[in-house]
Amino acid sequence: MLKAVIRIQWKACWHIVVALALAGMALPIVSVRLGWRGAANLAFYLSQLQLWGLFYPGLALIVAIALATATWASDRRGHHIYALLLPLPRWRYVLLRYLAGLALIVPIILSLWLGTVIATTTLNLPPGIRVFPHAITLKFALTLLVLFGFAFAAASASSRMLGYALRGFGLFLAIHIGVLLLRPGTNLIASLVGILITWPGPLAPLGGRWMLIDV
Amino acid sequence: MSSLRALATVLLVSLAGKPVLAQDSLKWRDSVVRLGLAVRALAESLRTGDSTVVEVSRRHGMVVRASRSIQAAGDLALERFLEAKRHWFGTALPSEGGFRILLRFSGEYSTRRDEGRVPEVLELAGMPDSVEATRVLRGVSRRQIGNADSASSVLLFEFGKLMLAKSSVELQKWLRDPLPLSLSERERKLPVLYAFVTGAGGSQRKCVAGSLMDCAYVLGLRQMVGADLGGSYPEFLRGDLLLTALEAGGEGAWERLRLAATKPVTDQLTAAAALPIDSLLAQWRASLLVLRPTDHSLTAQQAIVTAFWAITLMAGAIGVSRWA
Repeated sequence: MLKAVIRIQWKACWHIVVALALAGMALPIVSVRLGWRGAANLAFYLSQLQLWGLFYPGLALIVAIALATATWASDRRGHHIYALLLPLPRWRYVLLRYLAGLALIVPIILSLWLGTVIATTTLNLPPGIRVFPHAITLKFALTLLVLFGFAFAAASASSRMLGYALRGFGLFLAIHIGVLLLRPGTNLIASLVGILITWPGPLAPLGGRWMLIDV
Repeated sequence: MSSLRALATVLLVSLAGKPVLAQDSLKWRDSVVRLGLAVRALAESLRTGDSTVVEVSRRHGMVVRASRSIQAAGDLALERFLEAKRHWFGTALPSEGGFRILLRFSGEYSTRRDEGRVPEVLELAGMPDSVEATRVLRGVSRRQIGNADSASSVLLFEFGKLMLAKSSVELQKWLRDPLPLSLSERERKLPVLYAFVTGAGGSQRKCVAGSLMDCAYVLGLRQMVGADLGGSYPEFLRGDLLLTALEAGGEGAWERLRLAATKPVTDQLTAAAALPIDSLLAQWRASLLVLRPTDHSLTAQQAIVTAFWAITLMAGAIGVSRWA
């Protein structure tokens, strides 16, 4: 059954997967090659590379949103009739869709890994400077896993649930403004973001340095 | 005749009076200096004698006075300061006559409400705190003065400057910058690590590769001649090397450094660390390289936490899907 769902999903969005896989492969190669002027300006080169590192979580976010949306696109178009016709419980169908989405993520991660390996092996770095193709790929994979989870949950949600979520967020914003007016030193949004992006927060893999080449 | 006698008397007095005048001018100078010190002491006593500034804590020959609003921070700052001071300088002090470091916050901006406002003061004094002793007055931010950690960092930084001022001229010339004592170890070491590893000169690359002779050259500790040597490292790396020497030498390190003040900088560092210079350089180099990021930056615990969130989000997706 999983194979069938993967095949359907692949047919529906292979062009997105191929385009994102190419982007994944190109990102490390372009970032490493573009600023390289030899070992004479290593400090500047590394600071440039640190800025390029911001594109990795950016790419992960784009992949997560694109694939999660594409995963549920056919169901949304057909008003879930195909899914309802299948002799499957709801949880199993959602699980199959999720696993199929993860299967389509794998080629993107592999192409990024290939790109990092090509980028780092073709560069003549001075001794003392080290490369992290595997570590950055693993970090990208984990980030993508979490972001895809968020995007998949949002894409699979009913309009009613999305409405609840939106109202909940609006209420939180109102409380935040109220608290800010009463106690100017307390920032609820900053605290929430802090909780989300530091371990063991769900978005913690996004934080830290995204360095393919480092000291 | 009388005019001749008068002229002779004037000549005699003017000739004999030269040393007397010189003595008088010295006395004048001394009295002016004393007066200046007295005025400074009066100004400080007026400043610190403010009813809002009270003695907070007295420990190990040091006393902290602070404005009422920052008393708790002042007490804790002294504790942290003493701990850090013992770590870097042992029992050494900048002056026999004591010292005084006065941190003042007079307001970030001026508004009508701030007019006539008494500045917040945090004062650290080392006994006997005589008027002649060294002293520092520094304007600081509210955040720095109201927090024990940052206040103790600023106090330590200023104390380091006082200590350095009493060290040898050679050491001061070599170091150029104050000791980076206000930074945590990680804050201090990371920029040093990056400057160390990304140095482009021939000797800098050799130092990274492990040549201690080249390390001594690029840190300004020895002279070398060659076409491909390149320049030396930025000065802030030297401060880190000195702190490494003090750390290696333990509580008596600064005293030994001071006793070796007449010797070259290399010998002073060796005396402080109680290590040969090569061992000190090797230790310093290793302390930097150990901070390099590793390929295994992701722990098993973090991987498990990420998997947990992925499963939770998937379960959430089942719960909120459109058929619900």
